[in-house]
Amino acid sequence: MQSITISLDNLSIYIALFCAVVSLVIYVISAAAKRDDHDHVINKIAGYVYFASTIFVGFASVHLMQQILSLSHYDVAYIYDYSGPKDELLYRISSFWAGQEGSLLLWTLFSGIIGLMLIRKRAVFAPATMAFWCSIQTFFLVLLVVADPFRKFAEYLPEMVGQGLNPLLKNPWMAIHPPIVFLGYAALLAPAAIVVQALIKGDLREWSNKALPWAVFGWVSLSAGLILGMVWSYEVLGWGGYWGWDPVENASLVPWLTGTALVHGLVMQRYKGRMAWSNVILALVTFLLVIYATFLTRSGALSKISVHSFSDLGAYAYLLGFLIFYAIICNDLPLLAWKSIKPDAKPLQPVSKDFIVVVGVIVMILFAGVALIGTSLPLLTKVGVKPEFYNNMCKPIGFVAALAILISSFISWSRTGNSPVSFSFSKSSWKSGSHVAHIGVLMMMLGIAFSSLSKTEKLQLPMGGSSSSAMGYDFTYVSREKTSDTTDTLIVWAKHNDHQIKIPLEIVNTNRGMLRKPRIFSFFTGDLYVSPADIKITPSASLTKDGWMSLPAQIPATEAYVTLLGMNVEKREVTLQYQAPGQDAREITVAEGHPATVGDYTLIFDEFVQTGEGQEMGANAGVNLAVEGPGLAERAIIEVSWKPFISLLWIGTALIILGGLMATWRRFREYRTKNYGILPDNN
Amino acid sequence: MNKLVYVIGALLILAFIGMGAREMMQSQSPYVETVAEVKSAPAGSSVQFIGAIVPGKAKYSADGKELTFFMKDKNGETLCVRFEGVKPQNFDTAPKAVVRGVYKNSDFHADQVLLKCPSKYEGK
Repeated sequence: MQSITISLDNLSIYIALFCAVVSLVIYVISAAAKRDDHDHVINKIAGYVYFASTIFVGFASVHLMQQILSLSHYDVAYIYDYSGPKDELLYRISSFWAGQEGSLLLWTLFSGIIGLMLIRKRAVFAPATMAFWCSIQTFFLVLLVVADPFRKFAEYLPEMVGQGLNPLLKNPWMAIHPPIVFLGYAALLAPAAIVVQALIKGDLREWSNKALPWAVFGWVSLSAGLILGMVWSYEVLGWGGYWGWDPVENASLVPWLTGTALVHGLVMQRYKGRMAWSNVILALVTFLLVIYATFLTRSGALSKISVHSFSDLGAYAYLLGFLIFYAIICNDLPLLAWKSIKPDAKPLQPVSKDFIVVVGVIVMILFAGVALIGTSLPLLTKVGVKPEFYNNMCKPIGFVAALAILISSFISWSRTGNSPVSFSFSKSSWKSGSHVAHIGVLMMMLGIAFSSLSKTEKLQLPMGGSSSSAMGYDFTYVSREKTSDTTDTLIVWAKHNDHQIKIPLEIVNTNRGMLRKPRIFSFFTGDLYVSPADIKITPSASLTKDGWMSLPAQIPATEAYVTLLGMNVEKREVTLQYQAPGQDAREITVAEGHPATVGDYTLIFDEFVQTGEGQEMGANAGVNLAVEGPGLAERAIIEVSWKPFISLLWIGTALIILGGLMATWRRFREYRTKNYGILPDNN
Repeated sequence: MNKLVYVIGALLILAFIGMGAREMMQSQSPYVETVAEVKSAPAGSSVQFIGAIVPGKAKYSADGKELTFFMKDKNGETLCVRFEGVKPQNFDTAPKAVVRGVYKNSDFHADQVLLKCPSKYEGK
């Protein structure tokens, strides 16, 4: 754990924390004294203190951004780690949220601003809501004290220059992905804060109208964040996939799913008066799951097993403490309003709109449960599940969800909506954001189904040599060009009948490792996805007694075979049998550092290969041999995949975001004008 | 009619939970941190080994299909990993990796290689 020090740089975080605690205390007093009036002096005072807290979070953010952009504050560990003088402006800006501390600061700023909007809205405002909100701000600010973005190196040498952003993150999608995710998280906390007041008052009628715009906004923002992550994974990581069921991905998927269920439940409550109680639970559970996601990814709890989780910055205990604190609060709060619950007035009629939406909500909750259990399992048992678990579980989920979406698209929230199906959608309903988003979901599901049909093949291509075919294309490795100090570009051609594509594949060497950039060619029927795997300057063969390779091993691209006869580890030499076509077999000994020439080829004994270091050379020990000679050109290893109809997935996700934005705009407008469009005969 | 729907719904949910339990049993893969544990896992069962990559030893096989590299556990014992896939990004600088697969014939046949990114989330 790092030591906690106050400096001029992080002073504003401390002031913000102090203000957040003060406003928390005042709001608690105000809530306890039932001073619910927006204009009451006690609420005015608390509001100003909260405003000050947010202003100081803003100061801290501006200060960090300014230090990043000034290119001269590399004594700050965070800036040194994520920012560098050679980075472009966009990536210098995005280095603000590239790491744990900065992204926490950004999240605190977003939720601070949303808190101000909750105060401003006369109808939403309630001291209990704001007390809850201030407690969240306090929670984040304590974390920022522990994980201090302004922490300086104890020993700083002036020649230390920023490392620069990880080249993997230098992608426009990745630059905007974190802010959008955190905006979504922050907004999804609002329904929970709003329901707190409703529970304390024991009145569950009004809160859902106040919470709906925030739920929809948080939902679309988190959706966009998840989708941007998928695009980035597909375009940059080069493994050809877009979703890997990684704990960090799952941690944000679970609140997204309950958030989706919440949005549906809130709409149902508005139009039909149903699901009032489920919505209370969903709002609180979504809130808890956002905090749980923060805990999973930032406490270091999964740092041993997940590749993406943050390392522990000493915040484990705090995070676990806050999680338990909120779990208790969220568990007990609903009891306050237990008496005021009325069972849903009318029983559900099968195959009515209400029925279909309830089925959809149940499916999403089950899906959330699957992802939650799969992700949390390693925490409790040290046993993980393979992606097959999620993939298989998604089949029934996807089937029922698709069916529910299809059927519900044809039934409107009509007055007789509780009677059996009346296929009576009006044309205007297709202009609604909900319909656009649901069509997007169906297209996305189709795209996902098609992607299970994608095929992958690995090719080894000699430079200027023969072509190999995969996915109906003939691939030829033409040349390698040094396109910059750090970049090698492999020029590969793909030929299909008369159609030729030039595929420049970049391999970038950076101080943070090698980056192999995939190339994607989109056609109507699918994507051709080509990624460079490696360049082999000299072909080499691995030979072992138990046969890593088939023995005798053929020297690549030749007719000659080499067999490993024996090894002498102490003398560091190996005995080989060399067999060229039409010649007698020859036995030769090759010592380390002394290449041997047989025929046209030079055999270079590269190294011993062993599976247990410090052990005797066992049965499975072997050698790596490199071979040089005529016709043995440099080789490129590339991976070629065909992704059928993957554009459906991306068009679908775009429609989801578009529909979500349309719905957000509509719900905020309805809220402003108090025109909820509730059908006349609803309770 | 209404009751019937609830009963069918409850049965479907129970069936789903049952399927989940079965799938979970079938697709579980315990995390281990030593080579000894990898070797002592029941034959043919999947484990996830968390260890350090031995730098500079990764090689593709002669036909380019298989990647071979070595991993070390905290006791210094090494494990030969064979993977029919592409080197993940940042492979060369990743301090640690999680490989999932089956131990067979004194090698680890991985079906997935995940890296601990040195910089995506972690500071120094």
